[in-house]
Amino acid sequence: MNGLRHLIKSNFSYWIFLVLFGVIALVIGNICYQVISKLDTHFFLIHFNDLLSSISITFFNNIIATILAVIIAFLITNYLYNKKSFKSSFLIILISFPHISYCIGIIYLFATSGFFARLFALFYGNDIPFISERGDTSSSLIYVISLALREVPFLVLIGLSVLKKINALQIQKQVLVLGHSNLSALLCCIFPIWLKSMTLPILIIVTFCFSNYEFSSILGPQFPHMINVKIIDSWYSTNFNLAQQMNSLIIITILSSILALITLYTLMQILNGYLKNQKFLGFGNYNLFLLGKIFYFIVIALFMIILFITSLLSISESWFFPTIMPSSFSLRGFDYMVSNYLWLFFSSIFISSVISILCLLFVVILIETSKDTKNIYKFLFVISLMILVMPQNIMLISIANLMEQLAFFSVSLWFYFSLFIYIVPYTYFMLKQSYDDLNPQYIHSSDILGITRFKSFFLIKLPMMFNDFLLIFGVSFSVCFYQFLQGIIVTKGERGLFNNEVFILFSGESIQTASAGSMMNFLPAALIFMIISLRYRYVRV
Amino acid sequence: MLECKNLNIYKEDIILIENKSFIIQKSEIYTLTGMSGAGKSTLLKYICGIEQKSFTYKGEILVNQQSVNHLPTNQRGVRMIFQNDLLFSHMNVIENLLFAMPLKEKNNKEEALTLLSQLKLDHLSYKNINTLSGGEYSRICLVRMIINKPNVLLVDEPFNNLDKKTKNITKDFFYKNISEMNCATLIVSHNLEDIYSNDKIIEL
Repeated sequence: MNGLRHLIKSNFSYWIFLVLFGVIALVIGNICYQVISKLDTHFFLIHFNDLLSSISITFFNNIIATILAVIIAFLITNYLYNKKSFKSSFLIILISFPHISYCIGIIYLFATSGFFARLFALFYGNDIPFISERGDTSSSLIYVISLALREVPFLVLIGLSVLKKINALQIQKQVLVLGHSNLSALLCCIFPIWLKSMTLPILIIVTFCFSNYEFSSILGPQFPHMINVKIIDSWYSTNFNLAQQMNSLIIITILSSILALITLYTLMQILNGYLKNQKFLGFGNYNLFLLGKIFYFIVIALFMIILFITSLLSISESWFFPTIMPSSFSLRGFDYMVSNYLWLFFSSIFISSVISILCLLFVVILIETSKDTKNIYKFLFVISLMILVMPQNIMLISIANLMEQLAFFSVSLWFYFSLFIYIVPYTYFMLKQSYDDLNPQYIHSSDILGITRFKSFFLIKLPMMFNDFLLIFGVSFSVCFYQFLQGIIVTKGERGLFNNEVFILFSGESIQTASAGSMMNFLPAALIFMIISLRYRYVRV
Repeated sequence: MLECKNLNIYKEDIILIENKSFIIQKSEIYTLTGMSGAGKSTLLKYICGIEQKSFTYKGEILVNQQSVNHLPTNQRGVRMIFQNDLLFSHMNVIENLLFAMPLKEKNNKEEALTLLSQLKLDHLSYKNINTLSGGEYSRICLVRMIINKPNVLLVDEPFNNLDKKTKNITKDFFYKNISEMNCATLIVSHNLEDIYSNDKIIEL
């Protein structure tokens, strides 16, 4: 306690800031060095015919997925906001759904002997109209829709608090008393203001799209692969040309994501400019409300079907086409997982818990000590933003390069560090939001009463924000537990989390075992959120 | 013309307003006064079609002799300036005014600029809403409603945030414009100074 008291009292923020800034500068500097020092190798690009189509597929798929996710998220947010209450825990459970399990689930849905094929077989027999070999167009379509729907719960959860913050109900009333329609209120006023406040989450989504590996490799087109997959291929390749190609791909990814951000920002500005000059004569927003309701049920149904199918697959011994239910059941998959991966499962839970708690502690100290020094506070925001908007695969490649160049500390330490550095910004932004939402009157009152900052934190802030702390821990835990690229890039498979093994199982072991792994993967975060939701119950809007 | 017949408003078991009836003809200005918590703002919101969950309402509202109880807010032909009126933060001052122009009219920037200049606010035309002071904000809310050309106008404490000199200028501007528009107006006010001598008074 005395140590913590000392940290909070001292100029700790300056030191933390310098160290954090140093690390980020080192990571970014390393990227620049790697890229610029081998600039001549970019000419290799012309030898790779697929690269141009890879770039365009990556760019357009990700842009369209983001736009689709934002539109669907707004419709659902509007629907939920107008409902009296809803279970937020439901959305959080959807957010905690592992990406890998989701992607594999989507594949099962659309496979030639998958869920939809079985459903159609009930009516059409074996003459199923839509099932065929997946081509690049259908792959891109599935990639775009799946990625968009996967990001919707995250955007909805944040979007709801934004609607609450901008006081959407008051805006709606204001537009109505001016004699305009509900549709005008929604499209001309609420949507542009909501969109502006959602810039950061949209930024995070764009960056995620450009750095994710799971979606690109499992759902994305194969001929050619998307850039994210090519980067990982290059990273592992022993082929000199391919390895050299990686630096060029890094530049391309950074430029593509910047271009995507500029494109989206420009689109948002154009849309904003157009909408605020319009007056819609619609009689109400009923249709948009209904559309939101439909999308809400589609998203929930999709996640539930995936969960249902995965759970069935994990216990099915034999499941012949075209029957809807398996013919025999066994727990062989779970037996295999427990006997081979139980240790990794629990160690992943332990690592994720420790890292989440450390991040929480670290960010609390940072915010507490930097609140009075405005410049540091702003710099911390910029640094956290930089980490968030930097494509994860590129940041990890740079950390791995640093690890090789510096050649000190063990691989495990670099692995933990790479997890920590990725979780910190998430924790920071969530906690900063909670701090900003805290009524400053309480703090001012405690200052007037002469209560020390240390006491004020433990006796006022902590009890008032306890639910927020729990939720932030849950989100940080699930983000950490589902990390995947660290095991691939930083440790080159030497170390990893349970999530890495699940991915490997899907490419090698039986579907039953892999699905059992997928179910186990889903369990810890779901349990944590269920426990949290017992305290939270409902989000009032 | 606005007519309210046998209005009753309850909050749980407490009667706030009982059997209140009044008629406001075109060009008439009524001031609604009463103690704090008497239900003045609640009554205005009810007339406008904004019902609050914790209240129970009874009574009929007629606009131009047509019952509007079943109509949504935007189709009642009643406009309102709230106590904490809201300007849209993604639009600048002039865009806020143009957005408030009636649906059937084309955007008339000159009219908006003229109204702003009458209150010596024309230098704020292209300013961001977030940069306005409290007084500027509430005066622009008034201008926005004037530009909307309402037939029936309800106003909740319109001159609250203003100093004495600005209040007088704004009051003159407001009364001049609403009398030109021939609109039936109901103003809620705590302050007796805000009431013009020829205003009719409804007491709650």
